[in-house]
Amino acid sequence: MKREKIFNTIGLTLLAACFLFSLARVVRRGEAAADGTVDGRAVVRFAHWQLEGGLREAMDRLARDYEAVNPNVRVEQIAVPERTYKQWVRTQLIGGTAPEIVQLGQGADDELLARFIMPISEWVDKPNPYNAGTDLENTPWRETFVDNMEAGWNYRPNLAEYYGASMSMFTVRIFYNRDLWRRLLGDTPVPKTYDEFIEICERVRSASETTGRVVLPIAGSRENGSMLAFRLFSTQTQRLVRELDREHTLRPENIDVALAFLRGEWSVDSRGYHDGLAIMRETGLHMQPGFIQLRRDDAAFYFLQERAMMIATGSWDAPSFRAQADFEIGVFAIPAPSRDHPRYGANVLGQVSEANTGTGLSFGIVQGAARSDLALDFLHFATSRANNETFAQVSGWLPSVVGVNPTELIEPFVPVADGYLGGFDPTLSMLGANTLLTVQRSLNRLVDRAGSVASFTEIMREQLPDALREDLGRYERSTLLNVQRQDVILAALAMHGGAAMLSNQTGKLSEMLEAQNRAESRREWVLEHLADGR
Amino acid sequence: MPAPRRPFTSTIPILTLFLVLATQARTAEPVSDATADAMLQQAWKDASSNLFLEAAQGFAKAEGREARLGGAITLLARQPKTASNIEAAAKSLTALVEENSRDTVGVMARYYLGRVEQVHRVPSNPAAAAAHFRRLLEEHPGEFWTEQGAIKLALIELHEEVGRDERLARLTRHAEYASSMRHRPARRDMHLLLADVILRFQLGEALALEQLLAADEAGIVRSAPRAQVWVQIAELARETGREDIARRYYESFLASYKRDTRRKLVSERLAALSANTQEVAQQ
Repeated sequence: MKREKIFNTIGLTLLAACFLFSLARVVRRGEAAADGTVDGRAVVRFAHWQLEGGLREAMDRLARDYEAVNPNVRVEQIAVPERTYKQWVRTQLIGGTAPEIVQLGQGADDELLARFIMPISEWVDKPNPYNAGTDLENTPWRETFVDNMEAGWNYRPNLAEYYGASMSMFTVRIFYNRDLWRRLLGDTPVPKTYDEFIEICERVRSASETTGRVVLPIAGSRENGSMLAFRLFSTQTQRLVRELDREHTLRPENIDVALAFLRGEWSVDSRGYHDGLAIMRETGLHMQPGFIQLRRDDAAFYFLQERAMMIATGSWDAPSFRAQADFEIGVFAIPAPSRDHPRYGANVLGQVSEANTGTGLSFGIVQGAARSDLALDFLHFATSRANNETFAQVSGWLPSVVGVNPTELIEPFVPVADGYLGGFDPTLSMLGANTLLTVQRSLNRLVDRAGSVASFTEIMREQLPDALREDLGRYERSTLLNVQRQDVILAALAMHGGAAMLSNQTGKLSEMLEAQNRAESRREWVLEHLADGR
Repeated sequence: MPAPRRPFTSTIPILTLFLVLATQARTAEPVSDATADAMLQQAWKDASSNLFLEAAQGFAKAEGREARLGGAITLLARQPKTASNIEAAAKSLTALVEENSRDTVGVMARYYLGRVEQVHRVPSNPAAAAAHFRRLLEEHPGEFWTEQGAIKLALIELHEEVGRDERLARLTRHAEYASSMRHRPARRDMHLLLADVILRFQLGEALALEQLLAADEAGIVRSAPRAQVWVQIAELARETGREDIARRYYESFLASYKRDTRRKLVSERLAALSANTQEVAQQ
């Protein structure tokens, strides 16, 4: 009885201590949020969902370096798991407790950005002060990024505002286990052509059968399998997409490709589409059976546990893999068929260019942040050429700023600028959820041993038209919502800016009118196809 | 014996009454012109920053035609979107037009009545929208919002189900009007729309080229659409035998857009044009 009482007392004391500790933390944080200082130092907090190896260390290094030159500032990093980031950031923003800087992307949309994220358009045309003394000294901040800050969440055409500055960019490559390669394939070099790649897959399979050690040629999953198979598919639609260029842009968008399908200008029987399926099947057969049901973690396990020789994934996985693998990792570009390939060459224009690889890992400043001036200063600091180089070296991720020299580890991921525009993939390059789902749920019929190109084609013949129509309908509705919102903003810009705004040819009003009129023109064209039930 | 002291709490109702009266007296004070203008400006600023709720509250506090216009327009964005909000906005805009259709507020109200019918009301009523835009063209030619209305009218008329000849006739009419537009952004957008229609309905590449050249001359603001238009001009010029224009635009594209997946194709096109020119020169 007495013993029970002692335990209860200890328990209660611990509980009370925990409560008091938490309370103190919350109060301290509340104080910090109220006046933006802790221990007399101004606080800048930034949140992101990148838990990959190396990334947090790189961000931490930038934070400490910033503190070294700004001793009155304390920079805190908040890493939130990807699965909960969307809910977390929304709750923080709505509750007014968000950190000064948040990673943009998960759960973001134009409405959220407009309401909670501070536009940085005012600063993007001015130089980044932390580039002083370099050849970027007088270059507008926007132009110091390899994509001119135009990709993803940095610039929102519907709002005609810049919101984010990004730290990195991403490309997809094939990673391989060098030790296993040497054991099973000797000194065979990495494949340069598609045929060499398939031959290596077959050799791995037969070596695996001979030695009794089960090693898959390629670790697949819904995400990783698709990265490789879709990329190869898109080599087969390179010429087809050129034929669908009704507007003479040399780069029809996925919406144009879908509309051309509804007009009957191409079909699931078109040669490019058919051969795209064939090449997907050929590659898919070298992954584990049923890989479409697996997720990226499963594929990573296969590779890291040396049960697969290769895996196709993005540059973001490189540092994690290097940290976790007990073997040496090599990287090579996805070998696509060339123009003179006897089976697939007729559909190919040439090597696919990655010149338009957009930047990512984009950060925005929260509207009304206590120290938005410091948050902006930290973003300038982190995206200066010197600090982006530090970030790239420590994280092993690609840089986002022009002129940053890639290290040896990053070199294989640098986007290939030379080449032609790629074709579309079987999801029409993510036209929408319905097309994606339609393709994904039937992929087994294509890449399983019992499946075939013909059986997958039959399913697509039946289901693809409706899926495309539904996605085009969704596109039309979301365009309408943006157009409606723009109507209000346009009136406000005109009235708030007065005569000066109306006569400004290049200002925000002009920019938004251009965006709205372009969007409405395209929407009418989509409606034209949906209305007549093509 | 001294009278017992009244407890402090008994004074609370009196203090509350005093505070309420003081607040009411304060709110009853006439708002100065400068304050009213500042309130209105803040409301427009909020609306331009997507803060529609705050803007609506600001317009509700302000007075006058401009505040009523702001209130009606922000109603179009109020969530959740309801038919009654749209109807209330339409009523308010109609009242503003009926009171005075000639001042800036009246012209804007007419334009937004057209937009209510075109994109806000469910189902939309393109005929009613077109009627408002035509009224603007008749009564207020050259006004900023009239020219925007002309683009929206073209959008309706050029996508109606008509034969090729009729579409071409409408297109010619809008193209003539486009060249007389006073505001460059409107001229740019009208030419771009006409080029879209010509290419999509396959009404003639030379015709599309003229529209795109006019749009570029008016000035395309955003970088990505400008790249698109330059490629379109170069391609159409090459296909219609206007090689000097093609060369100029291919070169401008290559000089300005260093990271574009079309660069190789454009370089090849340019090289082929140069080869053609050399061949002709040698002959």
